Parts: sequence; C-alpha cells; structure tokens
Amino acid sequence: MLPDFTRQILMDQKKYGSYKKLQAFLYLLAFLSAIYFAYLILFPSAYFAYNFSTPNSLKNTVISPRDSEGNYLEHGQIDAADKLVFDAALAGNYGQAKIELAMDKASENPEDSEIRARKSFQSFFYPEGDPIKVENAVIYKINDDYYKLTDGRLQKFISQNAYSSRYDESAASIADSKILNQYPLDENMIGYADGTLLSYGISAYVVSSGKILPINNTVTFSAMGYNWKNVIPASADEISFYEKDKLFTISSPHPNGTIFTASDTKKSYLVENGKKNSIPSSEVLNSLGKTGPVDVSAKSLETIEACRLKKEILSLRTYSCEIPLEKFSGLIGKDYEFQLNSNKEIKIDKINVTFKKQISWDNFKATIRDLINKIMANYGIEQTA
Amino acid sequence: MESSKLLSKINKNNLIISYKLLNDLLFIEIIFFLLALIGEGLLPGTVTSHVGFSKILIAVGITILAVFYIGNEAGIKLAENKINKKTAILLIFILIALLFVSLIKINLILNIFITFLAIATGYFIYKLLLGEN
Repeated sequence: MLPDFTRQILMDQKKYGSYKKLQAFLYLLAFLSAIYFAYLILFPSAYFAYNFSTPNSLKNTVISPRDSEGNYLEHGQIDAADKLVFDAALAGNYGQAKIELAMDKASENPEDSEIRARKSFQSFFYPEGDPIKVENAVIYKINDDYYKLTDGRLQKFISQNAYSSRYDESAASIADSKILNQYPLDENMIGYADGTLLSYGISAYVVSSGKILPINNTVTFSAMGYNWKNVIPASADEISFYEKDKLFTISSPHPNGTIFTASDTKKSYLVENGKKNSIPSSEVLNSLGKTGPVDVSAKSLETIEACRLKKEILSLRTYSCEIPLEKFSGLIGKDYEFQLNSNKEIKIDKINVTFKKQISWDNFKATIRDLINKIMANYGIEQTA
Repeated sequence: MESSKLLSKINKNNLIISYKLLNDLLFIEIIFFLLALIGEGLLPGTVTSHVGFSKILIAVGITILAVFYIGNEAGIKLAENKINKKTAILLIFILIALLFVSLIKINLILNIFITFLAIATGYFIYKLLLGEN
C-alpha cells in the first residue's frame, strides 16, 4: 500500500484511481532506478582514457601508448608496419573490456583491425634478456659490520638487514679490523637489494636503483602481488639513506630488482632495465634478493583474446570493439596489455577503455568485501588477513 | 461556455494529480538523498563517484519549486502540518550520527564536544528563527 501525503485534497473516485496508477508507476520507476544504482555500486565499471593532444594530462589513465619498440607515439601517429601497444592497470576481475579509438580526420580507416589483449604484469611482458650469472663477491664481517670488496675498495653495508637482503650470513668471512687499513674505504655505502620491501611508520616502500618508491596504498601493494610477510621494518637512518622517488601506484611497472616466479613452470626472472632476465637455477635465485618473488603465470604470455574494430553507429570517426575477459580470470596480474595491428597508416586522437564487471555471486561478494575493507580502513579499524 | 468549464475542470484535475505526484516524487528524492548521505558518511565516494550531491539537490529544489507553482495554479491551500515528532527524532538522530562520523578521526572527547556544540547551536538558531515568539 503506497502512502498518500496529500490525502486532504479530495478528488472524485475515477481521478483518484488514475492518480494511484500513476503513483504506482512512479514508485516502480524509483525502485528500478534504485536497483540500477545498486548495480553501479556493486558491479562498478572502470574507465581509462588517453588523449594524444594532452600527453601530460593527469586525466590520461591509459598507461604509455607506444610502438612495438617501446617508443612514445607522437600525436597518436602509427605507421602501417608498426603497431600500437598500451596498458591499463586495475585490481579485481572484470568480464569485458570495451576499447574505443577516436581517429583523427587525417587517419586511414581502421575498420576490422585486430586488437589483442593479454593479462599479467607490465614488467613480465618485457622481452627476455640474458640469463643471470652468479656474482662472486668477497665480503668481510668486521666487528658486526659488513664490507664488500669491490675494485680494490671496501664498501660498507648500511646495516645488517641491508646485508641480509643480499647475501646469506655464511657468505661473509670474519676478518680482523686490520683489513680496514689494507683497502681504502669507499664513501658509497651499500643499501638493501633492489626489489626489497621496506616499512617505516605507516608507509611502505620498494627499493629500486638506489632509491625508494613510496607505495601509495594497500590496493597497490596487493595488486602488485607483494606479501606483507616480506616487508622489512627499516630504521630512520636506513630510510634517510635513500632518495625518495615518485609515488608507486597501481599503474607503475614492477621496478628493477623484482623477481618473478612463474607458478606453472617454476621458472624465475629478474627485472632489470626493461628486460626480464631468466634465473637459471635455485642457487642463483637464492643469491639474489631475499625478498620473496612475485608470483606470475607463464601461460599469461600466450593467453590472448582479440576483437576487431567496428565503426560506432552514432559517431563519425570512433571505432570500437569488445574483448571478453573470462579467459584471463585465473591468471595472475593487474595489467592488461592491448596491441593494435592495423597494417595501415593511422592517427588516433583518443583511446578509451571501459572494463565492465559481470553480474555474478563471486563479484558481488568481492565488492561487498572490498566495501567493508574500505569502511574499516576509513575508520582505522584493524583488519585481519 | 460549458466546454470551457469542462476544460478548466479537466485541467484542475490534472493539476491536482500532478501536484500529488510531485509530492510523491519529492518524498522519493528525499529518501534517496538521505540514503546517499548515509552512504557517503560511511564511505566517502561511494555515491558521489556516480552522482554528485549537487545534482540530487538541484532535482529536489526543482521539485519543491514545481510543488509550489502547481499548488498555486490549482489553488491548493493546505492547513499547516504539525511537525511529526517521530520523523523529527529520526532525522535529528541521523544528523547527529553523520556529524559524529565526519569527525571520527579526531580525538573522541573533542568529537563529542564539537557535536554537542553543533547541536546546541542548531537548536538555538531553530528557536530564534522559528520559535513562537
């Protein structure tokens, strides 16, 4: 029974009947709108965009549109022999990705061009480099301090923890302090191994190339495949040893020093300067950083979904297609890599990518869990794993 | 002459139906606004990432204006309603809860003090503006 807030206003029975019908229709519309709104909150879509006319805009959330060599595409211009590659990073499982390309007036028609998608981590998509070789380091332990002999000079480790992030305790030979007089002391000290996760106060950092990158939030930390057990609490002196680099967000690739281990093939790789170098044996793996490796799926490199671009009905120069993502649901990673191979000279103005969640019980539970976690984090309530 | 009377009667009936429907719409919008406020109070961004408060308030404002306009056109004069105590208590409770939650990250005693001060200020402003004298 619907309420009548204006029952003092008298009407004849026939008109009142019409009002009640219209009122029922209004409440039905409101109910349907509420369901639609709940759908938007519980099964949210994720939007990514890139505008080639404003390459430095913060609104550009599509990650580094580039050619096959990794070079930035000036003004969205792609040669016929080349292809467009770009990424989008997000946490959670999505059912479908819609890619829209708004073409420039001067561009050739990209109709029927294929867009291919893969899912893993950006750094795991890097080309494979040379296998890692074991480093034969000469290390001395003198009065609880650790020193590495490099090119005839002694380099001191900033702390025992920094040493332990790189080598086993047995790797250092105990030496007398007289050795300090034999070799000159290098003024550059050795910090933690690249890829090490550090914490200080409520902040977490990842060490890379002599710098620390502050991790922006717990979503990024989890999406990167990191484990809280691998975080080393650092002292103020250790943190101040490093220069702070830019914020490490979900869109960032894993930095130099990250070790990936494929859970399906058990092969491990070390990320270094835009390449992933294979680690030939478990001995070499143990000799590298002591931070636990990030799990990846080797088959994610071969698991590909594709779609063909079609012209949008109500648009002059926008082409789009939808890629189903169910195939990727079991694969580890937060990055979707898209490749467009048009075989035509094309020029793109804008890229839009929309990830849509499918209505499923698992997605519903995941969103509710996520909302509860966010509410708890918002009110500073401790969360259990 | 007869037809114009009939027309005006039809028009008046339609205006009354519109007036009643607008009241229902206003009720729905206020419920939606209240739920949106509670949702935002619990987790900022849940609602506003989809629809801004300004849009909801503009919709409520337009509906109120339409209610006044159509009420005048239809010559509807309603007797002044007394404040429904149950609704008032519920709304005040929600208001206090939202105020308290918005200050959750500061010291608890300071939070209670500011909430109390805000309630007292609100009460005296209400008395000053809408009091019987």
